[in-house]
Amino acid sequence: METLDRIPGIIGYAVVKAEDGKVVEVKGSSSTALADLTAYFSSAGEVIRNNFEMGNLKYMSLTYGSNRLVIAPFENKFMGIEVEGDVPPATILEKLAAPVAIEKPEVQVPRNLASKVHQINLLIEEFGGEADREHWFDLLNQSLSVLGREISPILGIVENKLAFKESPPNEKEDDFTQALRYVVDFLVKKAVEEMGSSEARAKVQSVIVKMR
Amino acid sequence: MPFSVTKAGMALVAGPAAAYKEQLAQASLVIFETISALGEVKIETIEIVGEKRGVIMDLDADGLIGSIFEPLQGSVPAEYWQLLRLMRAKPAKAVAMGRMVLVDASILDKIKTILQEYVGDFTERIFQNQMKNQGINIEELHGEDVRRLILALAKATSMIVGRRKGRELSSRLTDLVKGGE
Repeated sequence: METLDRIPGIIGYAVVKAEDGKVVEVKGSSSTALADLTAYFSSAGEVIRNNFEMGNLKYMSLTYGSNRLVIAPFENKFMGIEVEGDVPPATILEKLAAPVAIEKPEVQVPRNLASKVHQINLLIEEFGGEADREHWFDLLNQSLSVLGREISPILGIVENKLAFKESPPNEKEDDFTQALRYVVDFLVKKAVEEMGSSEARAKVQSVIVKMR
Repeated sequence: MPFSVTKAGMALVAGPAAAYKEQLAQASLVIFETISALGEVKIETIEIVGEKRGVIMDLDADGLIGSIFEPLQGSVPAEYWQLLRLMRAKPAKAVAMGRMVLVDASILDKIKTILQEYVGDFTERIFQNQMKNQGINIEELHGEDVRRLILALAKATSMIVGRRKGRELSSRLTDLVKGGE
């Protein structure tokens, strides 16, 4: 599944068991209940597939608002992958079929954006330490889903670090920097809420020192 | 093989699709029951592609229109969706406008004012992101759009300031909308 974390365009994904719809994994920064959508619609899709004698299911696709969920069977599971609505299902299925090609993408990130991403990684390290890292990754994903809508398809947690999955378009640099500023604000506010202002301030100060 | 099915399962079919009339009625019921179980997501289109056959569907509040087809290289030929959009754009638009009540867009400012009390500086960003996520068109705002927006804003607020606040916001916004009716 780590391969999915690296594929640009994927906002989030869920894996459920084909037999009973039990959730195996949910990842990413989607604000949609991906596991429920995948479980319910894979089951409905199977009924319809049988009714129309479609043969083996290749994929299902649902669109809602500005996003699309592509559901595909694999092994004894269904994988539901959320992408932006204008991404054709075939594009995402092709990327899934050729994971080797996306193993080591060449990503060029403007300094502003790289610096913000670095700052966020340091904040997560400071606030979460070793023990509480997952909690802070959850908060990071939540903030990306709520505040970083435009950036979330190309940014995600890859190997325990926030990272760009593809080079951001130049014309979007300002918008993306703004989105990441909101994410930083959110994380700092959460830290103040959870550990009190003096401890949070000390940790933010430590990040500032590391960034110099 | 185009078809049209109401939410209640009444299928309108012609030509070769007639052989699937019963299956289409069942499919419509399964889809709308699934959507109803999920609650807050407004599904607009569905495509299901198998090795031998595929089906594409465009949904609205009254039912769905769609087409059964044989997939080319495992995917849906783009012109099939174009045809479906054309079918949807003409007769259904008039029906939809007649049946669904439009809501005064000034309600959105009132919603934003209340949202501000919960998420402060994040208000504009959260509001605009959720408007886009939900695909809401201010020029043609329906009660159903407002309901979905409230759910989405409450969910986003829960993520930012906690579930209790999210529920409180949802309740206040629901009261606001009811008061405006």
